[in-house]
Amino acid sequence: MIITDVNKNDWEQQANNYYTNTGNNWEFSQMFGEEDDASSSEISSESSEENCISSLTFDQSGRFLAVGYNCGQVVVLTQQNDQTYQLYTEFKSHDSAFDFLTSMEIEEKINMIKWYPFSNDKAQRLMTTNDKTVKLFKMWEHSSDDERTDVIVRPWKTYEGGHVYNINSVSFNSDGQLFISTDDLRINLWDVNTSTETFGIVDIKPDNMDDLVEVITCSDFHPQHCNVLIYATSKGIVRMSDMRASAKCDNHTKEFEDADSELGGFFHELVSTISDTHFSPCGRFLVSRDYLTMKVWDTRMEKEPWKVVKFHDHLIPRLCDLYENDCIFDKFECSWSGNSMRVLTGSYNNNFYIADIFGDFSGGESTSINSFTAARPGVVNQYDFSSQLDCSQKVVHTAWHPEEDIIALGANDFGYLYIRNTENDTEEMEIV
Amino acid sequence: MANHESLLNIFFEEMGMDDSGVKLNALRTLSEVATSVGPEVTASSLLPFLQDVAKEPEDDVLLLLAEQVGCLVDILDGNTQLLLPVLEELATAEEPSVRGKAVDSIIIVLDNLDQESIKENYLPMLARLSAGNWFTSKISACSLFSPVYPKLEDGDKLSIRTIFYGLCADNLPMVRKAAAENLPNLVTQLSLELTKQEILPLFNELATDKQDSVRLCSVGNVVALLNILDEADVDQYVKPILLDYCNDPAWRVRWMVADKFEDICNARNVAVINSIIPSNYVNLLCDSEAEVRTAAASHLTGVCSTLELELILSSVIPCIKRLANDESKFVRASLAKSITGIPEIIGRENTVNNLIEIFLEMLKDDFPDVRLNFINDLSNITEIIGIDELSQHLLHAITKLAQDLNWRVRLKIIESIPVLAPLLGVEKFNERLAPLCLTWLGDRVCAIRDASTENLKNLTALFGVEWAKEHIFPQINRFSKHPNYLYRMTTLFAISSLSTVVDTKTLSDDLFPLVLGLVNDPVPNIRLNVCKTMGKISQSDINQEVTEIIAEKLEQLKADQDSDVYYFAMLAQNE
Repeated sequence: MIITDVNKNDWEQQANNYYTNTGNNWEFSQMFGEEDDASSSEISSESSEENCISSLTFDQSGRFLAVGYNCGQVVVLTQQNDQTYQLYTEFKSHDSAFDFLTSMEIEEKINMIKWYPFSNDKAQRLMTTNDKTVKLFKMWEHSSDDERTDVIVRPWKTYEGGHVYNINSVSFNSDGQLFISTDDLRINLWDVNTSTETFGIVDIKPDNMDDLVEVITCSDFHPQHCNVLIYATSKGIVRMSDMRASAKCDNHTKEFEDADSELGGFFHELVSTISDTHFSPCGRFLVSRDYLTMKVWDTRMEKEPWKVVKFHDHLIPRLCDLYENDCIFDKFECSWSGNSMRVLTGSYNNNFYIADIFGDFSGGESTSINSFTAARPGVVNQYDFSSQLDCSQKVVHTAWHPEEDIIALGANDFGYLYIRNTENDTEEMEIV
Repeated sequence: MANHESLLNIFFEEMGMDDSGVKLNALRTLSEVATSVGPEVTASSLLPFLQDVAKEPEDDVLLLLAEQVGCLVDILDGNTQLLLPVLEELATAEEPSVRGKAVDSIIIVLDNLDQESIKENYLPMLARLSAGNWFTSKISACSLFSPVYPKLEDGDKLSIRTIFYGLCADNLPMVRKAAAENLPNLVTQLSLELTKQEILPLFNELATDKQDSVRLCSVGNVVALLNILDEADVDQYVKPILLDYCNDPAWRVRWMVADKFEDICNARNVAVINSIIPSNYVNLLCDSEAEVRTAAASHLTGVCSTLELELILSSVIPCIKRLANDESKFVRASLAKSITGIPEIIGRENTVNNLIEIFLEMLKDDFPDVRLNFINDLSNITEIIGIDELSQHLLHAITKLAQDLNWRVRLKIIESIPVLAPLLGVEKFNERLAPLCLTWLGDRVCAIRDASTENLKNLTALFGVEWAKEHIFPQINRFSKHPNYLYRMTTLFAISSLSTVVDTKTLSDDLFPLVLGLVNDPVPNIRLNVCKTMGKISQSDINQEVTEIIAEKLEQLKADQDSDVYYFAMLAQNE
């Protein structure tokens, strides 16, 4: 169907070369968020709940970083020459609303932000969504007569009424015209220019709601091919659909399910639900993040994953506790590096992992994955997981600059930027 | 002068308000303002102001502005190029409808420009839009090449073409798409040589673009090229691409081909591709995707009228039989609409042999639209094969539709009655359908009652007043005495409607008394409708006596307690 030939050995060789020549050490660069005394965290916990980061996204050039909050605010940071990020603009994206039919409040929390794939150096478009409504903003620099430059953000389109269930993701098509919005049971296809109509292309709602066993957790359009999309479900399955084949994409073209999952028993279903899935920037692979592992799939092979990265095995004995305090339901994000060589994901104790994803993970102490703690330098040392597990400090949201080795992490109400240490790099690597 | 100045100031003030309703109203007076202040002030004060307005965010305001600026062409006669800056700003708007209106207005302005203005104003504007930073301006630019092309000298023609080809190869898929859509308009203006040299390679690129949306919009180019190129070139260059299109993996592209198939069949050089037409059309009719089948079926008559009888009978008819049983109701509905043109093409005997069963199936289909679409164009079929074969099933289908639970379905069938009635003839009609027409008068849904009064008028015009007296009037009479006021209202509406088709005597003797009987009705709604009806009646031919009675009763009703009755009595008196 798609995908250029990627010979497994060639790719892995290239990858291993890359890993050898570039270190996997990351340093604190910057922190942003409400300054908060760690000791007074209990008192201000209510207001800090509002200020919790709920999504993080770089744009296609990496020049901008958009941060969405529980309170509906969106902050846009822009890259400076020294690789730090400064405030560019901020605006209130969504307000909370009341759904009269169900008598429930619709939160203003921003579930996802995506940048429109085409922009110029003065103007961008930004899409944000809460549980029910998707909005598209235009952001541009306006030079007024007295040579001041203001940044103006205007809402351009509001796409509402398309979803009965809660929206978990949006994704732009590479044609610059279509996008999908996904809720628990349906995926809708929209034209950017039309907010009055949408086309339902995937619908997994059973006729009888008692038969409901599976919900959709996230979706993504292919970065280059305008007809391919994937969506992941609570059963640990990633399905790929081809929009060219038929108008409705209920019949998936490929299904990626790891049948070899070792953990059985009560927690099996809970930990196998996929919290995040993305195509790699090169388009050849996809990664899915579930509670205990990350799985990388070659999109041409459905039989088994290319790699399974286990980094949460230390949590397995504690699954009961994690179930008691509801942390087993945490939805961690993951992000690809711009050259499709590494993957980033977050964890508890404010830790985050960066995996040399095509490296060797078999047997013993794996050196292909490094863990770091997101914290201001000098504040906290790395925790020893076997002794303490702090579930309130977790890096849920992640983003990786598309061209440079800069990563953004969202942990509660703080955001962190880390940069890779390039001191020990031996040569410039270009990935084919 | 002072008056004009204040008009201008009022305009500026209103446009500066926050309320967009006020702004829109002000904009609607733009032509007036411009006319009264004259062309010089318009150019010096009004237009620069409008250029700022064009930067505002409200799409409604921008849309109206784009339209109104086009209307200023007459006022600025001789200097219309001054309108271009505002329109150029609007052509970069986010909202596609605003850009579309701006483009339309630019083309209106273009008609008014002389050669010099084109060179000095239009062409630079076009170049700026095409090189625009934000892609919206490039999309607008794509529509502005073909209108100006015939007016240019050769040197400019070349540079314009070059810019356009650049847009066809732009990085951004949305721009390539807009360019592909507009390419046919340009192609029709080029010489054969140029087309072969420059357009063909471009056509190839667009037809094999990776983005579905671009390939989709280039299908129109096939038709344009078929009309222009000579046979050898069509065979070598266009035919293979058309074949690729028909077999494109993306169903949306195949849909586009199906939609344009009729145009393809009517193109000048279709003979060259004749060999591939029937088989590919049949493939589209039997496509795996229902949307494609629907599009293909909707052009059935158009395509078949270009094919030979033998081919139709051997290839297309079997396909039609399959489509009649298609699982998708939309496909069947589309087929029902277009199949009515087929009997004329294949003749009576072939129709009777092959299609009768399909017609009968359609009349019994579950989906009301199938039945309705078929019935609507029935006259085309009955002209060829007569009504007898179908009448039994037809009447059954109509009866079923007339009682459908969905009122919109009932409405549609009522609207078809005047067409069907002459086909069936008075006797069959009286037997089966006349009672139905009367029950509709008493339907629970108001829209149905309204439609049925209109229907009665048409039937009366068709079958004559005597028929109406025998079949319709008794029911109207009964309704006028019905305890429920809604039915009494229906009487009045019916009479209003019938007053235009019956003769004077009938109106005075049979219908007017019913109206009179309701003058003192306890329900005010009835009384005010009596006024309306009387007003309507007095517009037809009536005799002196009736006129006097109407005048008298209207006076009486003017003194009514209810203010609405008074109002309508006044209104009627003036008629």
